[in-house]
Formats: sequence, C-alpha cells, structure tokens
Amino acid sequence: MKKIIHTIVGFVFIWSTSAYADLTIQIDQSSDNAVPIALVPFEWEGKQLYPPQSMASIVGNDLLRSGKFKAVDESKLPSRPKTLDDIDFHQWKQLGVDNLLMGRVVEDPNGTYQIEMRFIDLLRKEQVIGKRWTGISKSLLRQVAHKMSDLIYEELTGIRGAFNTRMAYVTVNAVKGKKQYSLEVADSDGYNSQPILRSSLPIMSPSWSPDGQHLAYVSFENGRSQVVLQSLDGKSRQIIAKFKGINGAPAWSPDGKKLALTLSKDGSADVYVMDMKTRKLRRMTRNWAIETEAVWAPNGHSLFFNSDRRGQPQIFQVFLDTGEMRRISYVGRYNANPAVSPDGRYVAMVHANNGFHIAILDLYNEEFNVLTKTYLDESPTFSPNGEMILYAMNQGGQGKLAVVSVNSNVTQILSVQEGEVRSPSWGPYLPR
Amino acid sequence: MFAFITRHPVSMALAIALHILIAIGLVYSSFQEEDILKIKLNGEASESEKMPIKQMQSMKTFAVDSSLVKQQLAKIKQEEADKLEAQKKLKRQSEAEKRRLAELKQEQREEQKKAEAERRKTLAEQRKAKEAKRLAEIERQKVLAEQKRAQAAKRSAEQAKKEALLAEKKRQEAKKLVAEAQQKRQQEEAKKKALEEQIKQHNAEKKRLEAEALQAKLRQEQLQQESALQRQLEEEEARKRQAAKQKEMLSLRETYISSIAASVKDNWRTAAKVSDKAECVLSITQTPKGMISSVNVEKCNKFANEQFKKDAEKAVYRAEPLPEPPIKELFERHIKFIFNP
Amino acid sequence: MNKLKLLVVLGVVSSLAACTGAPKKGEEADMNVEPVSQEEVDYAEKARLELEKANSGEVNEVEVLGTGATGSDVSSEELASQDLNARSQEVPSMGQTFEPVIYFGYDQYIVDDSSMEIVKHYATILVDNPSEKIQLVGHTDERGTPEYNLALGERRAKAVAEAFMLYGVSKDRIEVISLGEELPLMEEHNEEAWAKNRRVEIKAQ
Repeated sequence: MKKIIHTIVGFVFIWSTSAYADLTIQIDQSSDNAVPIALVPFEWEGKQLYPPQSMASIVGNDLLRSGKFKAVDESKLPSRPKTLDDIDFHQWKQLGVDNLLMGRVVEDPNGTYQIEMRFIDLLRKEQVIGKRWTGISKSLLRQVAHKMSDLIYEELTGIRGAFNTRMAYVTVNAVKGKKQYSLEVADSDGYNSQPILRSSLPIMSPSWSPDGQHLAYVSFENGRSQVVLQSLDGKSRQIIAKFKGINGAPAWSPDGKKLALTLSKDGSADVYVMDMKTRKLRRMTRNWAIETEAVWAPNGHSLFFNSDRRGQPQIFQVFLDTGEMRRISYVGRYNANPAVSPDGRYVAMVHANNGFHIAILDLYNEEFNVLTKTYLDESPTFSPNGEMILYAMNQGGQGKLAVVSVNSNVTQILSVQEGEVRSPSWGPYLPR
Repeated sequence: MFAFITRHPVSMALAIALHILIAIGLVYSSFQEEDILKIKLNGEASESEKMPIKQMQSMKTFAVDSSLVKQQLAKIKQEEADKLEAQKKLKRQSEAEKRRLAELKQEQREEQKKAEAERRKTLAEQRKAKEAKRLAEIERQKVLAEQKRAQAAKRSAEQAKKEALLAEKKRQEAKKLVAEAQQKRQQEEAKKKALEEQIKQHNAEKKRLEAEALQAKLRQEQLQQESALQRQLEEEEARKRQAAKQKEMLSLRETYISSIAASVKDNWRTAAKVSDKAECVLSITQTPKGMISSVNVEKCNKFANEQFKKDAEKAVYRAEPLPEPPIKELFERHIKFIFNP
Repeated sequence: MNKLKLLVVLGVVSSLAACTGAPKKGEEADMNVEPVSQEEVDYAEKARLELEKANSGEVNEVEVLGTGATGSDVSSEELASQDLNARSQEVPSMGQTFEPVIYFGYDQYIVDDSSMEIVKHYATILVDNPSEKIQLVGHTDERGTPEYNLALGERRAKAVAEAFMLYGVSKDRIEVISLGEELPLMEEHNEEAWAKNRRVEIKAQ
C-alpha cells in the first residue's frame, strides 16, 4: 500500500514568517505493519484559547516519520481520557489501538509552561511512561514534544529515539536574481530552521562537533574553498584551513579533538588530520590520486575515505596508529562519500550504477544493498541512533533531502518551499 | 576314555582283532609262554587301556583246558626253579600294577561320577517315553544274554581254575594277587563297557527324544501362535477403535490450541528490530470466554530479545478474546504453545 | 591586445575588491560574531550596497549568524571578493575568437588538441606580457559527490596549467582554483548542460 501523506503543511503556513527555510516533510510510504497509537490532544490551562504548540501533533508526526507507527485520526478518537481511570479499555480494544498518549500543558503565571505526559499500554492496561517538565519556555515546547517522542520510541522499539536532534543543511535561493547560499540548522522534523551563515558563494559539507555546539564546513566566500569552524550561536568563527589548492571535507573525530580534512597543498587531494588544539596537521594519505571525504570510525581509530587510486572512486580505510590501508568497497565501479553508522557496523556510500544511489555495506557480513531509488543521491548521513540515513537528491530539477530507513522501505522527502536544499548532516544526540 | 573309544572305533576293532590273533598263536605255542605273555598282554592292556576283559578270560580258560594238564607234570621241576624268579618279577609287576590301578581307580571314580550323572539324566528321560523303555529293554536283554554267556564262560573257567588250584595250589597262590587285581580291573572294564553301551544307546535315544520333543514343541508353538494371532487381531481391533477415538479428540485439541496460536500470530505487530528466528513458549491462562487472566513468556531461544518478549505478550492481549474450543470439554484454562511469528 | 587590456582591467577590480574585507592570505581569520537582528541585517544590506558601489563590480556577501537569534546586540560583517562567474561571462562578449574555456569529457581531465589551441593562444599573450598572471578555475558537472568533484575540478585546472607551462608560461604566474560542481554554467540536469559545466575557465588574476 503506497500512500502519499502530506503532513505539517498547515504548520508551514503558520511558521512562514521567520521560517521560509523550514523543511516540508513528505512521507512516501507507510508500513502496513505500523503499530497504531492514539494521541489525545493535551489538556490546556492557560490565558489563551489554544496552547502555543500542539504537543500530540508534534509527537504524532515524529512517530509517523519513523514508518513504524500510525496515529489514530483525531476525529476518530472515541473518547479523550485525562487519567488512567478514564480509560475504557474495551473501547480502544475494538478500535485496534495498542497505545495511548495523553497529557497536559499548563501555563504558569511567570509565563513558563508545565508539561505532563502519560503513555498507556492499552493491551496490558498500564501506564508505561509518566513524565513532567516544568519551567519550560515557549520556544522549548517543541523540543519537549520531541523528547516525548524519543521516550515513546524507546519504549516501543528498545532503541533510543532520535527525534530530539538537529540537522544542518545548505539552501540555495535566488534573491534579486542572485544566488544566496544559507547554512541552516533545524530540528529533525524540519522546524525551527535557523541560518548560521549566509553567503553569495557556495557553502558545503557541514560537519557537527560531537557536542553539537559547533559546525565545521567549507565556504567559498573568498573565491576558493576554505574550511571554517563556527559555533552554533554564531559567537565564534574561525577559518582553520585556507591552504593553496583545495580545502575541504571536514569531519570531526568522535572525541572532538581532531578534524579530518582534505587538502591539496602538497600535490593532489589528500586526507589530513588536524589536531584541534595545536592545529598541527598529519598527512594520512600520499598518493597522486584524489583522496577525500574522510569520516571517522566511531572508535576514532580509523578513517574511511574515498580514493580513486584504482582509477575510479572506491572506499578505503586507513588506521591512524599504523597507517595501514585497506579497500572496503568492491561492488560496482564508483563508490564515494562514505558515512559510518554510529555502531560502526555499516558504511553508507554513494554508489553509481544506473545513476547515483545510496548503498549500504554491512562490515560484519559484507552484504551490500542499494537503499535508494531517487535521482542524483549523495551526501549520506546517519541519524545518531543509526536507524535512518538522511541524504541529498534531486526531484523535478530541484535539490531536496530525503530520509530512508536502514531497515525498512520508508522514505520521506524534505524540501524547502523555494529553492534547493543540499549537503545535509544529522547532528548528535542532544542531552536527554 | 569312552570318548576315545567311540572316537576311534576302527583302531579299537583292530586292537581287538590283533589280540585275538595273538591269543590263538599263544594257544598253539607253549603253556609257559602263554603265562608270561598273558602278563605282558595285561601290561599292555593296562597301558593302552584297550584290553577287552571277556576275551582275555575265555582265552585263559581255553589255554587251561587244552595244555595245562598235558605238560604240567613234565615240566614241574623246571617251574619250581622258575617260581622264585617269577615271584620276584610278579612282585615288581604287582607294585607297578598297584600304582597303575590306583591311577585307574581315580580315573574310574571320576568317570563313574560323570557316568552316574549322565545316567540319572537319561533315566529321567527314559521315563518320559514308552518307546524308549521298550528299546532299552531289548538292549538290556541283549546285554543280559551276553552277560550270561560271559558268566557261563566264567563259571567253566572257575571250574578249571579250581582243578588247577587243586593241582598246584602253590602256583595259584602266587598268582592270586595278580588274578585278583586282574579280576577287579576286568570287572571294572566290563562295567565300563556296559556303561559305554548304555551311554551310546542313551545318546541315540536322547537324540531321538529330543527330535520328538522338538517336533511336539513346534506343534505346540504353532498352536499357540495361531491362538495368539487370533487374540492379537482382536486386541488390535480394539486398540484401533480406541485410537481413532483418541485421535479425534487429540486433533480437536490440536486444532483448538493451534487456532489460539494462529490468532496470536495474526495479532503480532512489532516496531522493534527482532530476529526472524526468535521464538518463545507462551503460557496463557484464560477464562472460559477466552479472556486473558495472565500471560507468561518463557523458554525463549537466544534470538528473542526483551522487545520481542514484550511484543509477544502484547500480541496475546491483542488476540483477546481467544478462540473458543469446538467442544466445551476441550477448554483448557492453561495453554502453552511455541510462538514463532 | 584589446583582450589583454580587458584582462588587466578586471585584475585591478578584483584586487581592489579583495582588499575590502576578505581576510588576508596566510593568516587565520578569527571573527567573533554576534547573532543577527533585523536592524543589523538592514545595516549589513546598506553596507553591502555601498561596497558594491565603491567597487563598481560584483561583491560577495557573507552573513554570519547564530541559532540563538533572539537578542538585539547583533552585528555582521561584509566580505567581498571577485565574482568569478560574472566576469568569465564578460570575456566572450568582447568578440573573443577563443572562448577562454576548456571543456572536458565525463570524469576526464585530458586537455585535447582543440583545447591546446586555446591554451596556446592565451599562453602567447601571457608570454608577450610578462607582468600578467592568470587564474585557472576548474569545474565539474553535478554528478558525483561534491567533495570528489572539488578535487576533480582542481585536477582539470592543473592539467590546463601543465599545458600553459608547456607553452612557456611559468608556474608562478598561474593560480589554480577549483569550484567543483558548485557554480555550474547551466542549471539544467541533462547531458548538454553537464558538457558545458565540465570546464576550466581562464581568468585574469
């Protein structure tokens, strides 16, 4: 069963004032096996008629995007219980609903909010999650909702949710007939997008620091490629690599102490590792070939990178301790732009075979699978729980982002209202 | 020893024939030589243990009858001189003979024991069959006739001996030890021979009886088998009827349990990452209306993670009410089955 | 000589532009930038327009912002340098016999014979004018990964640089730059557009 579900469109209009770069998410496919969940609109106690955010809707859209759950249509809810005692289990049973979310949002006199959630297992007839947040500012309400989604996801799947995370991406717009590039940071559902850099010349390859507070990226603001380090709050910005030749492909080490990058200052493009404290460079590859797009193994002991030393781009691995090198990808003639899953088991890459697609290599059993069917797919990046891959693609001549589930066929497409979006990078877990 | 004899009938016959020839030869030769030879022959016999006693006795009798009287007086003096010599010899010989006899006695005692055991066995068998008795009677008469003949011969020999003893008491006295020993041995041998014959007959009889018994047994067995077969067929028939009944119930029960398992399987849904190979035993307690009182997830294999167990339990609740049994009697409050979605 | 004059003029403009705000080569630019407010953005826009006017040419603008953009104490900085794309389009408009662009096959960086003619033409001008310097800007089509294409663009520009050196232009007069797939000449997604986009542009420095 294929369904095109346009979600959140309404919100896009509401938010259109400050958020023209917000992403609209379109879910391509929903799984038949999705577990139904009842999301009862939260009780509201406040001065206004309506709460500033609909918590239940935010959670519903989060869970829907996972492809594993489906929300019961609000109009079809048989009742709106407020406590466990209100629940007529038989009623929900007939509806075939397994779980129910209910809660309250209370506006305190000081202008902050109290949020309470209860997640009920209707089959076992018990509350499985109960949580309250207090002193929450208006701007953090969405984040609280994403935290709820994470809790529910973990309860139902055993895997930590990655809804309360952010992503960085680059948008390209024509402003007064001139291109404008913008490096944006948004919530995982595409909301709260905020630019951290705007430029009339290209920006590419953002990479998150492990603490989620900085981005390294490539900017052409001076007419050539440079690697820039910037804090998310915009208070600190440094150009850390502007050597002769190209300066590109920054990748933060898992401990945040090093940065891998590509420089061609000594000849052809090679992978280097920069010590972030001393800024000293260590050359990891020496080859006439192009060696670039390095990413770190989660243990920080090795790098996966792209090298065309065999004539065509293929993925190699180099160990920092020994300098030992080995080839990783063998399927097909073109494999580039590796991304390593957080558990270190999978390497996603851009695989060319009848077009460019995202493929995934299981390092445990060498299984190789092409995951995507879209056009000009590139720049894969894993969600911090390893369940999803975010990547860039092209649809109808427009650059868009897409999210594919590693284990199922669920694909969502993220697009901006105008212009293009590219170079995605999924940020780390935020503190719980 | 009997075994030896029976095993070598040809050599036995040859030995007997040879001895007869020698005896005849001796009869035509001198009386003195006969005596010495007789001892020698006895010695040989004791060595080879093949000497037939009856023939020896009749031979001796014959010798006394024909020549002893004729030549005795003429040669009496010579014999007197020889007497001492012979006495010495006899003494030596008798000593050797004693040892031999002791050995023989030992052997014979053993043989007797064995024979006795055999006899008891065969006698018991004899009583079992008339036919055997009759045949044994015939045989016994034969043996008796022979014994009579032997006794007659013995009597005449004794007669001759008495005359000879009267004539030369001294020589007989000297010979007494030898004769006694000889007699004893001869008696033993006769007994042995008789026993041998008996054993032969008993063996043959035994074989025949055994064959008959086997025949009877086979007949008996056949009969038993036939009746057993009959019984078996009847039992099987009954069993089949019982099994069919049970099977019907069993298959109904199976159908009932598997309908519950299928209903749970139909309600399996998971958002978690679980292995295809995961399986657990689900232990469910239900009310007669199929409402769930409790669910226990137990005995899971290594592929079943915590999330699988959780979702298996939920599948049971989702399946509530569980399907009812086809017959009320089949309802089971506690149900267990392997769940492998 | 007409063409060369044009190149010189453009060179002057670009060096002027480079002086206005771009961090100087060889030093790391540490900039502490506050989050943006609307007033500041307006100010930035004004400053940008002024700079544009002063340079009478194209200006690149860079706005540094932050995610915590709620405060009012915000400043921004304008950065300007040459717009390579715009100038490269001016050159053929002067009736250039040889378009200062070398094209390449897919995933290729071989300078073919007809391209060597173009190189020879500009190399001759450079040899005649020893004070002039050039930039070789490499580009790729959109296919393939952006970072790999950045390196591939450089490889193409270096191949053209080798060709210039063959015709007697010394290495220190050539600057090699790559823009990868970032600034295509044609925005379409077809073979024709891709063929136009796989190029090295020869520019005055």
